[in-house]
Amino acid sequence: MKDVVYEINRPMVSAESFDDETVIIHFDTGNYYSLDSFSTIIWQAVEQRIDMTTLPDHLITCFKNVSHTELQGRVEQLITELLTEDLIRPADNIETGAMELQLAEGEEELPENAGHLIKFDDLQELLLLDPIHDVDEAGWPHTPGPESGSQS
Amino acid sequence: MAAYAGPGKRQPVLISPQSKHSGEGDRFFQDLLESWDNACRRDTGPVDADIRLCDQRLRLRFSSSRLQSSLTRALNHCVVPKISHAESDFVIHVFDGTSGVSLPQSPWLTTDFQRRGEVNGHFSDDIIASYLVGPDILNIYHKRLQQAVYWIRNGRHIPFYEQAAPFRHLIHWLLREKGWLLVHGAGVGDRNNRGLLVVGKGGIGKSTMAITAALDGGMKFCGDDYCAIHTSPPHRLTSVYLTAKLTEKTMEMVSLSPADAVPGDEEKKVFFIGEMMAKQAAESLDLKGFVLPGLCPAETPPGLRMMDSGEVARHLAVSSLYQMPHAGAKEFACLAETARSLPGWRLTVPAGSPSSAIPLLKDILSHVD
Repeated sequence: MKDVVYEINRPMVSAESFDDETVIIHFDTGNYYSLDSFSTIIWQAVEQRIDMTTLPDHLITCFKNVSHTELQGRVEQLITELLTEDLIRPADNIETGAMELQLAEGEEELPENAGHLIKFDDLQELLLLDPIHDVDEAGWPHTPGPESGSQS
Repeated sequence: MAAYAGPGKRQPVLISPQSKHSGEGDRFFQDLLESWDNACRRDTGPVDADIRLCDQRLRLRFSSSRLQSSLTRALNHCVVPKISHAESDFVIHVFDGTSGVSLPQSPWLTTDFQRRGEVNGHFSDDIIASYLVGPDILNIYHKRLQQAVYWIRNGRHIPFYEQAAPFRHLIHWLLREKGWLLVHGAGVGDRNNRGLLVVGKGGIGKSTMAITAALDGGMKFCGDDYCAIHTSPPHRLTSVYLTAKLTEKTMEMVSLSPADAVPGDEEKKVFFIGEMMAKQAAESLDLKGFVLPGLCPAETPPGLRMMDSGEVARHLAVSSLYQMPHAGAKEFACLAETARSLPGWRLTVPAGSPSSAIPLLKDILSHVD
């Protein structure tokens, strides 16, 4: 990974965590996302400004069925997806935080397909804005058409 | 945002010149009020309508009776006897471009007009704005004054969706300061005033479920597309617009005749459900949970499964927030907390059999606290 500390791309991006899922909204693109429990840990690590190169060191103590190399791969994969979707960005200030994991040591099994970002784009149309081609004499956007009337 | 130059000399209308907050935002708002005042003189206004919504008293001041007629029908169930200006919590001034009165010069650049209708650059924390490109609707909200201006370019041809749900952005901004949020969903309830919010994206079957429940099941109807919810306990579900926007296919499914809709040739027809089914119309219900409608294969029984709170939040929050300008993390947190607090169900019915949802809706409500 080129950058090791990231931050949430606020205010365009907002997230809320639930029992088994984190829901992320991107207010600019109209896409929204779901993270599973494992991905949520990585998301929270981003929020806590954890150095991503050290994250697998923390995670390895919590999962009993996965190697350090595999954890590193999954973290890098998710970080790449989050960057691609413009949900996180390299931190301006690379002062790192302390990791506060919500997991008990060595008690969790990592599901085989855990660590992905699920993307939904079915609501993009709600954010589509027709390009503003025309403005009226007072500078207000004006879309000529059968429904348009005269302002003055 | 460009600096607001203003149209020239002006007389204060409603803003105190001594206000310590006065600035170019206040000047622009004052010019809008003067434009509204001039439109009233040219038209038949002001024509007032007082409504009560979520315990807030709103005075709608129209520049003409024509605008009043077109833009209050969806809110008729909220209309109250005339109140004094001092008693109103919020005032919306309404006029249109056909009045012959020009808007003041726009203080914004075209690049300031954003998705969701947001307009960037608010002069100050007191003023927020939205502009809907297409119908060309300007909403300006002045928080400190508790006043707003609504302008539509052509008030003689108001789009069906605006007649069905007028002043959405202004009502959203007003209500969120009072602990309520305007959400994308339909409301249904039982005779004990227990209510469910039917959520999901457009076309998923919210209207079909809510109207069928009212027409065929005698259940209460609390709105077809937008409702207000109180996001902290006790959770409430309040009707804002007692209307329905239906496609031809949905009309057939719920046995409503196009003859009962507002005349027009637009893609959806608007029905004023509050007038058609007064007995079923509910002003406010105790919100008990959420329902996401869906279809199951033909000749299979209707299905019901619990959703977890994350799934509820996805279907409740995202489409609501995307439709409301200047909504963000704070509103998302409120909706997420509501989704965590209340149960949600995915209710699927066979295609062509919307009434099969009715027993399940009633069953859900009979089992919630």
